[in-house]
Amino acid sequence: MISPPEARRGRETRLLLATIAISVAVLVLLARFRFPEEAGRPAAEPAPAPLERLAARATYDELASIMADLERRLTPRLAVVQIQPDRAEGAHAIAARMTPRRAILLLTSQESLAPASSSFFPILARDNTRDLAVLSVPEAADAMVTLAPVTLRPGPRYIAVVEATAQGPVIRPVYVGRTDIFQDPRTTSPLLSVAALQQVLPRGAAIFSLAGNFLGLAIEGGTSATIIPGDILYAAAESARGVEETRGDLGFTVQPLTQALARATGAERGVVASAIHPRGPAVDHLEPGDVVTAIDGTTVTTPAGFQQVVQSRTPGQEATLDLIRRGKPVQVTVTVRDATGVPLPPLAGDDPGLVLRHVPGLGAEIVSVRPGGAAARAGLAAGDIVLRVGVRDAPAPAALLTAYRQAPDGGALLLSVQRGAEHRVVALEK
Amino acid sequence: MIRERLARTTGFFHTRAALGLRPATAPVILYIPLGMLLGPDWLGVITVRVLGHLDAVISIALATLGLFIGIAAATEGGPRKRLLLASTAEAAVTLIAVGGAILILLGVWNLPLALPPVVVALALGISASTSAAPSVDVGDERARRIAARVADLDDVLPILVGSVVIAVLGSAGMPALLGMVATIGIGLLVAVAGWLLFERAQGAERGVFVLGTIALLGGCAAYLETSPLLSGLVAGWFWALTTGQTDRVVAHELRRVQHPLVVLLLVAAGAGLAPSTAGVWLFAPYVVFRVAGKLIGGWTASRIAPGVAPSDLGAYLITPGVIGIAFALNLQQVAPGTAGALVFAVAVGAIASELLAVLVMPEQRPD
Repeated sequence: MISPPEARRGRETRLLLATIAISVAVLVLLARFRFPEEAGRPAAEPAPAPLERLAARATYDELASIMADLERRLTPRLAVVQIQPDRAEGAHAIAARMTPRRAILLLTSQESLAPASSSFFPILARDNTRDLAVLSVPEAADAMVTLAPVTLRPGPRYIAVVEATAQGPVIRPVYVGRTDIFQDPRTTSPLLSVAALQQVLPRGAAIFSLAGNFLGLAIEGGTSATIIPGDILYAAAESARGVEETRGDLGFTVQPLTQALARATGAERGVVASAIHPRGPAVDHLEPGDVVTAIDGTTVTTPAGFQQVVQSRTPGQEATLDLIRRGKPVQVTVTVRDATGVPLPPLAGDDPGLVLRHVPGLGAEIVSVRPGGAAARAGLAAGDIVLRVGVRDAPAPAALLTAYRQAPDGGALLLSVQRGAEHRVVALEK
Repeated sequence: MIRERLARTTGFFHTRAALGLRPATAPVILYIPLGMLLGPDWLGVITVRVLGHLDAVISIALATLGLFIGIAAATEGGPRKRLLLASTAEAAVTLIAVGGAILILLGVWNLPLALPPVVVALALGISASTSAAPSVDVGDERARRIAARVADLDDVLPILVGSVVIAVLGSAGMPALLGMVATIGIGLLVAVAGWLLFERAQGAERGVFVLGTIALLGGCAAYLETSPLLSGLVAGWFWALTTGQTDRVVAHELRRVQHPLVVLLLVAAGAGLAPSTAGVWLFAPYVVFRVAGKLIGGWTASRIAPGVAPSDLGAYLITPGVIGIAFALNLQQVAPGTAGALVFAVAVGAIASELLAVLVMPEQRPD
């Protein structure tokens, strides 16, 4: 005879076991399924990452939310100007603010700004080789585009494309395939090529990552577009800077943080202080080899980004630098000085603006490049090794500088340069 | 018989209100579809931009929910430790059942998700483990009371575990441990400030202080990308344990905004729903293993705190808790663009669970 409580307990136990058994059965059953995108793929084929990423494309709402956020953040960093004659894309063009007072846009030699725009945004300089124009815009220290490090990121992803309309900048997401870097005779730095999937990238559009970093301007539109990267645009805007401006300077030069330097310094990102000006404000605070990771909390990852942040600072104010010194984080405060006033002595006509060191058997390694100099205009950068000057192999630094001095005014010196594993020829114009 | 069947079929319209208050219209069933209807995909009354603006209000709503759970945990869990233990065990069993099953399935399915599978499994487990008070007016009164208390207290564990997940994913770049410390620190600091303020203020002024304090709790947590639920829980727990009337004052003042905030939270969850293939795939196992987890968890809880038949307790707890949806929304706030499928599975799963709760009703058998 089983008592009612015992019978109840027995029933509860049976129910529990049944629940567990059914759960396991359902789990086994569900585990027999495969996600559709994966199911049709032959097992032997290596997993194609692009297809997986296509399946993981963000939903409309997620993208819309990101675009709304980008629109709010990017609109103050862009300007819309009216051009003439009208392009196929419309009568307006987008200009990206590269410095507090300079914006840059795509403008061919046949195009000009409409009177309404040119009176408001006067053109400071034009580069007809690359179809760029630098505009003077009302000063706004905190409204510049943030430069993205140019890294090759193969595989599909979304980018944000900003186009100009009469109502202002319009932003939309575009899904692109792989991104490639390629050399172009018009520029010394490489350009980006992106393939838009089922959409067209308009010529002249400003391209951003979904994180809001400026990738560049589309100089050739279509489904396979060419983008001129932000660092080239920044250099162009920078070289057009007028002498009337005040801009910040910290009195030291920087170079990129290579993998070897990262291992040696213990820093994961930042830029390396390469030379400290002996009369500059940083002389008592920084040492060559310090890695600058942030300025006033703004992370810096490239020399161009560093320059952009520094020059946006007002002379006389203090800037707090986050450093990695011998593997340990250090914070120093440096008073910003006026770069147009004191700083580096002006370059002589026969000085290309290079600091070099001899690499026996190879040539001359560039330690630092003076902004605004012939070397900077040629796209040379710290870390490059000059293997050949004219007909001379493995030139010593003195031989390179002598050859430049001896070159005729208006002429150019042909350099064979190695950057990482890549070789190129650069014209150093005098 | 006909009346009973009619009561069952219309039961889901008379489910409990959030947070163990008196039974009211089922908020999940009503407001999530309403949000979907008003959202950007349908009528477009709530646009994406509006949803962005609602983020801050959602944080405040999350802090309010956490606060009520904190007060409940301190007042109910203190004198009735067995009940708190039973609730925690039930939540843990459900979390493990759902999280484990989803983790296994994600490993097999190769579902394309932006978040790591462990995070997705853990988040779904956390959302699944929350319950609400019994939704259907059937069963023994004492059993329903016990089930209601278990349902209230089983939110504590998910909030704690969920805060760790939020701290790992969010914390505005801080290390996760610092994020957790900040979450608890915010709760304690604001609680101390509130404790000093509320006792001395009167009338409308006190109401303003309370609302301001809750806004501060939610706002700080949102800014630091930490869990407003845990900050609220810490504050509520503190107020309930300190001397004076602070917890009652807060509960009284917040009663006016509690329902609107819950409605807003559910409507925002509905409006922000983005149906996706991955979300649909997650939905089915979420519902199935949640039911299994609750039945097994109910059995475990009834061993620790007897008073209701094990299978009945499990059946009572199938009703989903608003905290589960709140946590999913919180996750979406700290990891925007990646938690869409998860929110979809949790929100639609909550509706399905609410309907299942009407079908799987307790049999009114005292233990």
